[in-house]
Amino acid sequence: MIIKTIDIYGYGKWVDQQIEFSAPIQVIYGPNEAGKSTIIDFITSILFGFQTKRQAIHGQYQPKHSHAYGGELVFEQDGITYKVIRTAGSHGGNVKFTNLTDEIELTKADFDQIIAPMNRELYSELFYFGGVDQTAFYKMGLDDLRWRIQKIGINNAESWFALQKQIDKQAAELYAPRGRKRVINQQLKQHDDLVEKIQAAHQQFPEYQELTKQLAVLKQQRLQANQQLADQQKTLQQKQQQSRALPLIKEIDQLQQKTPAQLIDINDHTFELARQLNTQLDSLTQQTAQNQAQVDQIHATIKLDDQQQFLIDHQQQIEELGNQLNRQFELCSQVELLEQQIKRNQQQIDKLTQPLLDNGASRLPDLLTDTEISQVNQFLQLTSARSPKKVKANSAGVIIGWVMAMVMLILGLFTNRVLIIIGVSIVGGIVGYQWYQKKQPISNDSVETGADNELPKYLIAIGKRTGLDNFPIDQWVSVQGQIRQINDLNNNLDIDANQQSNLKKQLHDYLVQWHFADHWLFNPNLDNRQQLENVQQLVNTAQQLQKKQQQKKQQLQIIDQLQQTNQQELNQKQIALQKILNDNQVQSITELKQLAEEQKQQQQNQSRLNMLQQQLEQLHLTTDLNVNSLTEINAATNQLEQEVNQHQSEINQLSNQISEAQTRLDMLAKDGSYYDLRQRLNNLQTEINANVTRWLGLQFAQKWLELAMNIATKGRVPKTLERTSKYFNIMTNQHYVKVNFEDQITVVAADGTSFEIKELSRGTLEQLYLALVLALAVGFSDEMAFPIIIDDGFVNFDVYRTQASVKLVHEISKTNQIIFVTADKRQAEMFSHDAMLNLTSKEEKVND
Amino acid sequence: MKFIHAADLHLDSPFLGLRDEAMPESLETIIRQSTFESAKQIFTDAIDQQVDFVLLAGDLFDRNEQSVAAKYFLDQQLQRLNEVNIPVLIIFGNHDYYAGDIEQLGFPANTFVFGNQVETHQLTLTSGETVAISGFSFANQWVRERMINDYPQRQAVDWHLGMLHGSAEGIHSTEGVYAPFSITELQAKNYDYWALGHIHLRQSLDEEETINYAGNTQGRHINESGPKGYLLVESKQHQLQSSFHATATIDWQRYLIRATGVTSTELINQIFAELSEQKFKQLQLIRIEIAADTLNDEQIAEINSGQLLTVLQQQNQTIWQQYHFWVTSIKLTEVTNQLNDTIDGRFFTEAEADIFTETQYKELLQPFAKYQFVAAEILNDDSEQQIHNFATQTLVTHIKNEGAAD
Repeated sequence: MIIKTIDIYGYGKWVDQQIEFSAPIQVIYGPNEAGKSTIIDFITSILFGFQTKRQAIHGQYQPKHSHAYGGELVFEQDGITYKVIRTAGSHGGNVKFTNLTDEIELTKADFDQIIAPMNRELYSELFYFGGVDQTAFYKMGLDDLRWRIQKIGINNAESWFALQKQIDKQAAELYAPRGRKRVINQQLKQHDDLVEKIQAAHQQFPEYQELTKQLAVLKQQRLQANQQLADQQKTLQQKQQQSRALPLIKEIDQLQQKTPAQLIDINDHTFELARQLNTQLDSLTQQTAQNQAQVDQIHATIKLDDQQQFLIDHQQQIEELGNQLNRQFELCSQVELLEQQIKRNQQQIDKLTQPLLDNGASRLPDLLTDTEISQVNQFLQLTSARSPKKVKANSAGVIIGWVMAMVMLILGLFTNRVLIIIGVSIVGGIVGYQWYQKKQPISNDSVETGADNELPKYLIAIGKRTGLDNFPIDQWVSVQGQIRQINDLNNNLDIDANQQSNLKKQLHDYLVQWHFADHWLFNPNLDNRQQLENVQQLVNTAQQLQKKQQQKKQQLQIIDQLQQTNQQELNQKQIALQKILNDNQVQSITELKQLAEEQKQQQQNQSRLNMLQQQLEQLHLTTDLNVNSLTEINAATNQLEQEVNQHQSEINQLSNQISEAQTRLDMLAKDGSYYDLRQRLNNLQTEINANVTRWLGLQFAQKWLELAMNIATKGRVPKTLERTSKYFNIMTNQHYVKVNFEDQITVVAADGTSFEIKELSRGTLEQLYLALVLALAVGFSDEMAFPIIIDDGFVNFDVYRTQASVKLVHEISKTNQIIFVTADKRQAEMFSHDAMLNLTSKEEKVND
Repeated sequence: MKFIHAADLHLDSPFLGLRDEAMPESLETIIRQSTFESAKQIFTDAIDQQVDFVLLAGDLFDRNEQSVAAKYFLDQQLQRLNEVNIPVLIIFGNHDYYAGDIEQLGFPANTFVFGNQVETHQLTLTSGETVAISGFSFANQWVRERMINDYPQRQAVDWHLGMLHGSAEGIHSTEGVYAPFSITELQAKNYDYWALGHIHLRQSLDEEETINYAGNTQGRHINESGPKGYLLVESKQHQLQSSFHATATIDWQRYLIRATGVTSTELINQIFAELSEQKFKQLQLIRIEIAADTLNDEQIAEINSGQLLTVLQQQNQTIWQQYHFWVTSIKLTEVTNQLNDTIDGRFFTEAEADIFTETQYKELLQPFAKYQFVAAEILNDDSEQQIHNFATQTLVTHIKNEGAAD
């Protein structure tokens, strides 16, 4: 690119200013504040865009007295002339771009494409020399140089650089050598902490071993203590046995003393037998006495009083007569019955007769004969047919009644007298009924028959004969029955009376026989029955008496037998008892009892003795004892008991310690936390490794990227280095022969001495930097030849170096347009043959 | 004769490769108890099988860890066998090395511990057979001497057995030195059986299968997968035959997934679906290996950042007890370098060789020098490859996102 002209609309102090540029070198000379820097800035702004307020460190060069901002720039590239107009606007300004040669309107994009990949920053690094930032330059190293070169040399350099930054960021997140918050750093810290904890936990193992030992010791101690305890307990037991034994021994002695040489040895059975016999004898004796008493009693009651005596004396007679008594009673009853019957008959007769006599008859009418009856009937038939029924009914009823009565009577004669009574009653009933009937119908019937009061003579005669003349004729027949009845009754009565008197006689005869017992019996005022009853009583009494006497005799007999038996037994038993007594040399049963008592006591003593001796044996005494050593023994026992307790509590304590130790041991053994720490440590290591792997991956990516980029620009870098050396050599008039770029830049003098650039003078340093810029610029000139701006560049050069530098500049101008800006007239004069823009003339000011 | 050969119990030693985050407490407990449960089963089997004796070939626990639980447990279990008069012969290995007074260990009467010099212990079995067993215990973490030379030649007994904790030369690569020996040297002694310990992968070194590593009794990280337990060795006439019996309660497993979904959720669901179909009978700790070419960039990014695993484990919390699995890690396989396809690809390819050097790894790991476990984990081909993949992925993702140069 060669800049041809610029047209400033408004920029800094320049307003509406046109300036022409020449190639290959254009000098701009002017004093301070002539506007040189403004022009330079204008050029860079038109080419690369206006800066924002923030970006423009030196200000935006807004014109003070004009509203126009920006301007035009005409340049030539690859044979074509272009014009670019940039005015105020966003994104670096509004751009109009024209191809002047071909008169084609182009776009901003076209302009950007031509300019690319150059930008303000790169331009100032590669094509602008305005003095050197010493500090920055000192720090500059190969990497920085590389960077400057790579920026241009690689496709998508920006994006690669962005990736590098990203990778750096990612890596930094993971790890920083002296960091604390990064992931890996934190994890490493955790790792250290865990290792510490694990270290601390190591204490558990020796503790475990210690406890194990302790436990063994404690157990041993306990074992010993147990043994001692056992021994002591044994001794204690012995003493206790002894103290238990003493009273036993004492009692044994006592008992042994009480024991006679000869023990009573009688069979228990004997005692029992004797006792039984004795008891039996007592009871037998008692019984005998009782029996005797009874006999006496009986004898007492055998005595008889007079009556009783009498009865006894006449016993037989009484008996004989007594046997007839029942019969006599029967007779008596019969008599009484007959009496009743007679009375009843009489009553009946009277009853039946009475109505018949009411008619005024003086006597009972006689019976009609059969012929007479039929005569009457014939008569009646002729006169009445009106109430056949009643008559028939009546007569039917009467006939039935009579039949029944006859039956009863006949039966009664053969069987029970009662039936006779019934028959009589029926008769009586019929009679009564007929009498009643008669009374009633008479009033009715008499009306009917009243009409026929005339009777035949023969009938009247009958009436007179029989006495029926007082009766109405229609009753004559009917009355027959009644008459007959009455006649019968009278007959019966007579019969009964006869019989009665017969019976009475019999009774009397019987009773007479009893006269011998008058004293006790008769009361003549009594009737037969009563007398019989008295007799009965007497007989009964006599019978009873006899019975009693008999009984008593029997009783006496029995008792007597019993007594005999008793006596036998008594004798027997007495003999037996006596034998026993004799056998055992005692006189009485009491003595025997005593003997038994004694024997019992002896036996008790013996068994107690045995028991005591057994008990004593069980105590298993080892030593013989003196009965009097009880106090000694007790004292020893007490002491031993104390000691045993002491030991016991010691053992308990040991047991507690043992179980505590065991528990702790188990806890240690089961505690998983130590393992957890170690597992966590391992897990952490796994994760750290994973992160380190990632981090390494990033690091490698970074290095790889860098190297690749280096390779991509491999061509340029050494060439630039070479060229820098060459230019520096020229500028320093061969004073220095080489420039080395490594971490830092060093220069080699002609004599071979190497210097760090820190050691160079300011002027030499500037020369070196200029050499670098020129080398870079030239290095890129095949791809992009931008104008090189040297802005007050040689101020610190001495005369000779200045000359040399100017010479170099001229050399380079063959490939790049050089715009040399200075305020120094002398320098300006060195470019006397080149195009010069004198700003003093522009401003009508000349500073010399 | 019948005896049990077991080794590397590593009682109370933690598992490796797990994360604290998301692991349920009940699972932690099972893990903590696993070494004990497996060992307890061995002792129970010894009693049930009425073996003549038990050989424990070292690394019963890590002495540096000083675990009370391990000591307590071991004492108890030895006591169980003591009560039924089953002898136990122990050699200590590089983790439980011991140079002190054996009496101080407090083991019961049935337990014989070999000293630091090779010694031979004789037993007479109830059958009348005589058995000699030779062995020694590590005095410290490394044993450089060829202890095998001190083992006596076969003695005049019915059976002569050898116990040795160490690594066979040429077969096992070792970072340290563990009583090295060669198979030839073992065979030269003419023993009937060699009960070896130290190598956690159960294996026989000879065809007759009388020189055996019993392997450890409970796997503790993903590289210790497969069934774990003890060897039961029985005599059949004059031969010894060994059979394996599994006692571990937790198994480790790798499981390969070819992803079919596009989101992380789908991936997680697929993982759970496939795993639950396996119907595991016993608890499995699983590393999921996913073929990287079946995943998209988002999924890969989530896997690399650890995010996917976190989410997956959170969901795993609710189903592990039912389906008996727990996913411990996710790894990408078949990762390809795609940087070559980019415009600037050649630069990257050129740079690659210079970047991923061993020196570079070591240099970058400098800040973590204090933490040996870091270098131990990372300075191996597997981890380094993972880092390489991750770096590649970072760049590739960026390139894809940015698109071609404008």
